[in-house]
Amino acid sequence: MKVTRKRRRKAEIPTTSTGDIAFLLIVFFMSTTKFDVKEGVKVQLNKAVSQEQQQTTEIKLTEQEMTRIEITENGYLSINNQEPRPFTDADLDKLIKEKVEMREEINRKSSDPAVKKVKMLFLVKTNTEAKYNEMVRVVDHLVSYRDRAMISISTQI
Amino acid sequence: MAKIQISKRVEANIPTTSTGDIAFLLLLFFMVSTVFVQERVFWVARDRFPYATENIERVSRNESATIYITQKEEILIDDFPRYVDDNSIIDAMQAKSREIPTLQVCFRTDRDTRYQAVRDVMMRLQDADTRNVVFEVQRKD
Repeated sequence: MKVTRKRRRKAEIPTTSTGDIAFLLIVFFMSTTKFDVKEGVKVQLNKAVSQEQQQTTEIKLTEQEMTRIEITENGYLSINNQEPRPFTDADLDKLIKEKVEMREEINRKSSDPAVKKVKMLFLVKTNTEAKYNEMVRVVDHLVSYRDRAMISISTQI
Repeated sequence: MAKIQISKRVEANIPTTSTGDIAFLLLLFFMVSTVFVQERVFWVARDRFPYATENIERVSRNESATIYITQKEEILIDDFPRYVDDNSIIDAMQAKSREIPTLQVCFRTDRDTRYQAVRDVMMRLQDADTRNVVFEVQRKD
C-alpha cells in the first residue's frame, strides 16, 4: 500500500505592502494636521507704578519728546490733545514717521550727548469704551518704529 | 575552439523588508513627540482676532500662556474662567512665570471687545510682573 505523506504548507504573511501602508498613514497625518501657530504683535507693558510713586516721579514731557495718541470711543485718534479725527493706516504711518524724524533731527542738531540718546515716546491712551481692534491697529503701526521710538500703552484710569 | 563565456546578469535587488519598520518607527516618534494643545475649546475663533498688517511675529507655544477674552468679556486662562476682581489672574500668571522665565502672555481677544476688559487684565499682568504681551492678530489682506 502506498502511503502518501502530507505536504506541510508553510504559513506566510505577505509583508511587502506594510511599508506602503505606514507611509500612507504618515502622509495622511502630515497633510491633515493643522498646527495652532501663535502669531501676534509683541509689546512690553510698563512696570506697575503705585499712586505714591506716580506722584513723585511725574515728569512733564514736551511734544518734542512725547506724542500722545488718544483713541476715542468711536475709533478716532486725537494727537497731542488735538480734535479727534479718523486716521487711515497711511495717515497713521505718515504721522509716526514725521514725529520720529522730528525727534531724530533735534538729536542730530544737539551737542548734548544725553539729548542725542532721547527717543520719541508714543503714549497710547485708549478710551475704555473703544474697541480692542483700534488699540491693536495703532500699536501695530508703532511697533514698526520700535528701534527708533519708545511705545507706552497706558493702563491708567 | 575558443569557449565563449556569456556573462551572467546579476539581478538588482533592493531589500525593502525594513521599510515598514522604519515607517512605523517614524509614525511612533511623531505620535510620542507631538504635544497637543491643552485647551479644549478655542474660546475666541481666529477670524475674530483683530487685524494687523505690519509686525506679525511668531510666538513659541512652549514659552507662552494664553488669555482669552470673549466679546462678552469673559476671561479664561487654560479653560478656567478668571475674574479681574480677585487675584486669580495674578496667581496664575506668577505660577506660569516661575515655570517659564521667558513667559509671553498671548491675548486671544475678540476684536470688538471693549478695551476696558483688556486694560483690566493688563493691569493684573503688570501687578504679576509678566509684562511681555502678544496681541494675537490675523493678517489683513
